[in-house]
Amino acid sequence: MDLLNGLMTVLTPAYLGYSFIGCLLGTLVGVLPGVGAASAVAILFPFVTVLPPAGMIITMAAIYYGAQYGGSTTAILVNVPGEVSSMVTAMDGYEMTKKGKAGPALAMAAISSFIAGIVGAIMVSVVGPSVARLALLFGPAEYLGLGIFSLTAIAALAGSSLTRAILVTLFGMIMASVGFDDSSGLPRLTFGTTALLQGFDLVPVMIGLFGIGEVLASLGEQSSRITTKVGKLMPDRDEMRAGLGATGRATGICLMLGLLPGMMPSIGSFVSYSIERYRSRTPQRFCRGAIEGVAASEAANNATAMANLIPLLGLGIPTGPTMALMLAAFTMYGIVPGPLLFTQQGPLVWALIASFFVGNVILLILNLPLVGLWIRLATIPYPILAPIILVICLVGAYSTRNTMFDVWTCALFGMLGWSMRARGWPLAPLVIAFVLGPMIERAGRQVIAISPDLLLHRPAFWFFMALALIVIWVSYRFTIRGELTD
Amino acid sequence: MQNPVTELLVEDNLERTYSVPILASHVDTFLLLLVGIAGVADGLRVILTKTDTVGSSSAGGWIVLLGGLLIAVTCVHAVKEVRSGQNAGAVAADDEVRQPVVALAMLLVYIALIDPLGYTLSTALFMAVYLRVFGKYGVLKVATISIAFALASSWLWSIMDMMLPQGILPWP
Repeated sequence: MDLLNGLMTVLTPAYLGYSFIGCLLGTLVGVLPGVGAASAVAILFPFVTVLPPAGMIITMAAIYYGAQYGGSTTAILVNVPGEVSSMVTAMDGYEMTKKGKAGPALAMAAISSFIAGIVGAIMVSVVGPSVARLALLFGPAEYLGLGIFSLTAIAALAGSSLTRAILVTLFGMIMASVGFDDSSGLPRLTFGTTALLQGFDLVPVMIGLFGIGEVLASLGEQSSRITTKVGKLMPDRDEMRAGLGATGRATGICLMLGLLPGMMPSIGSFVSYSIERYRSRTPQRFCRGAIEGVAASEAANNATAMANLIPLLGLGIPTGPTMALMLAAFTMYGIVPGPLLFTQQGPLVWALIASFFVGNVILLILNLPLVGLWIRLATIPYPILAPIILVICLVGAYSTRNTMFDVWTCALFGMLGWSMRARGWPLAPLVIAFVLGPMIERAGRQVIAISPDLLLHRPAFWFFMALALIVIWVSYRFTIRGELTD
Repeated sequence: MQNPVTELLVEDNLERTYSVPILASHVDTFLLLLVGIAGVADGLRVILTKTDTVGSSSAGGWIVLLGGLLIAVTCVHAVKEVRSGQNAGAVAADDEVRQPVVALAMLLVYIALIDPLGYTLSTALFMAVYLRVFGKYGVLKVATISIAFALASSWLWSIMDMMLPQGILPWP
C-alpha cells in the first residue's frame, strides 16, 4: 500500500520531471571519460540542492543509476569505462563492438540493468522496513559495534593491502574530527585558525577526491578511441537466453552481497563475472565478446547498488562513497536515515523507492535511442572537457557553504585523491571513515557516559565484533591468494 | 643515427624515474606520521588545558586514540615496506606525473584569482591557458571557447541563484 502511494506520488508531473532530469544528467555525466557514478553524484550534488527535499533525493538517486548506465555505454562502444565496475563490462562489451555486435551488447546491458534494478527495488521495499524495525532495538553499544564492523569491512574489501586501508580509515576519522566538537563545543585540530573551526564538509571533500582527483588521474592516461556503428540492436534468441541466465544469477548473488558494508558495485561486477566464467563450459570465450560477461557485469553492478540502499535507509550506514553522499543529501534537510526513517518520513522514502521503478523505465527508454548522442559526447576532446569539469567541481564546492575555504578544501582533497590513486591507496575507506567516524565517536562516548560495562551485556555488540574479525580473516586469506585486488 | 642529445635526455629521464629520493619515496609515511603526531598533540592539549569544560577528556581522548593508532599502524606499514623491499614512492614515469602537476598548478592559481578577479574573468583566463597548454588550439578557438564558456556558465549559475565572487567584472 505504501509502495502504491509512493508510485502515485512519483507519477505526478513534477516527480516524473525530477526522475527524468536525474536520469538524463546522470547519463550525460556518466558517459564522459574519467567520470564514474560517485564522481557524477559528487559533482552534481550542489546543483540539485535548489530542489525540495523529495525532489533532490529522487534526482540524486536517478543521477546515480543514470551515471552507471552512461558508464557502461561508453565502456561498450569506445572502451572508455567511466568507472571501475564498467571495466568489467568493457572486457566483453568492447570485444562485441569490434565484432560488429555493439547493438546486442548495448541492449543486453540495458535489459540486465533494468531487470536487476527492478528486482533490487522490490527487495528494498520488502527488506528495508524489516531492517529498520530490527534497528529500532539498537542502542549506543549496538551502533558502536555496527560502526566498527562497517569500517572494518570497508577497509578489508577496499584493496590488496589491509594495512593501507586501515591507515586511510584512521586518516579519514581524524579529518572528520577537525573543527568544533559537537558534545563539548571545544575546537579540535584547528591550530588556532578560524577557517578550520567550521571543519571539512563532506561535499567538497567528495568532489575533490572523486571529481578533481579523477580528472587529474585521467590526464596522465592515454586511451585510444574509435567511433563505431551500433547496427542491429536486439540480441538473437541464443544470446538472449545466455544473457538472461547470467542476469538472474548475478542479480541474486549481488542482492545478498550488496547488504555488506564495503561491497561496492565494482566488487559485485568482478565477483559475478568470475562466477560466470568459472561455470561456463567455454570459458575461453570470456574477454573475447561473451554476452554473458556483459549481462553479469551490468546486472551485478545495479543489483549491488540497489542492495546498498538497504543499510543506508534502514540503519543509516553508508556502504560506499555514493551512499555517503546520499546520506549527506538526507541530513541536509534534517532527515536522519535509520530505524525511524520509514515511520517519520514514510511518504518520502516510499516515493524514493517507487522512483527506482520509474527511473529504470526512463533509462531503458532514454538510453538506447540516444546512443548516438552519448557516443558523440564521449568523444569530445579531453583538453576541452577536463577544464570544464574542473570549473564545475570548484563551483559545486563553493556553493556548499558559499566560502572559498571549501574551494581550497576541494582542491586539497583533489590533490590527495590523485596522489592516492597514483600510489595505490584506496579511497573508499577514507570517505566512509569521514562519515562514520563521528557516529562511532558519539556512540563510544555515550557508552562510556552510561557505563563501559554496558558492552558486556549487549550480545549484538559482540556479534558485530565477531563479524569484523571474520571479515578481516577472509580478507587476509584472499589477499594471500592474490584474489582481492583494487 | 640517433641524436646524442636525445640519448642523453632519455638516460636522464630513466635516471629520474627510478632513483626517487628517500623523502619523496616515503612521503605518504611521513605525512601520516605528521597527522598522527598532530592528533596526539592536539588531543593532549584539549585534555590538559580545558579541564574546566565538561567532556574535554573524551573529546581530546578520541583524537589521542586515533592519532596514536595512526602512528602505530604507520610504523608497522613502514617496517613492512622496508622489509619487503617495496618502494612506496615508485609511482610512475615523468610523463604520467607532469600533466597532472601542471593542471593542478593552473587550478591553484585559478582558485587564488577567483576572489580578486571574479568568477567570469578568472574562469575565462583559466580555460584559455588550459586549452592553450593542453589542447594546443589556435588563439581564436581558445578565445571563443573560453569566453563563451565563462559567460554561459556565469549566466547559468545566476539562474540557479548561486552567488559566486563578482570581482572586478560583475556579470550578469
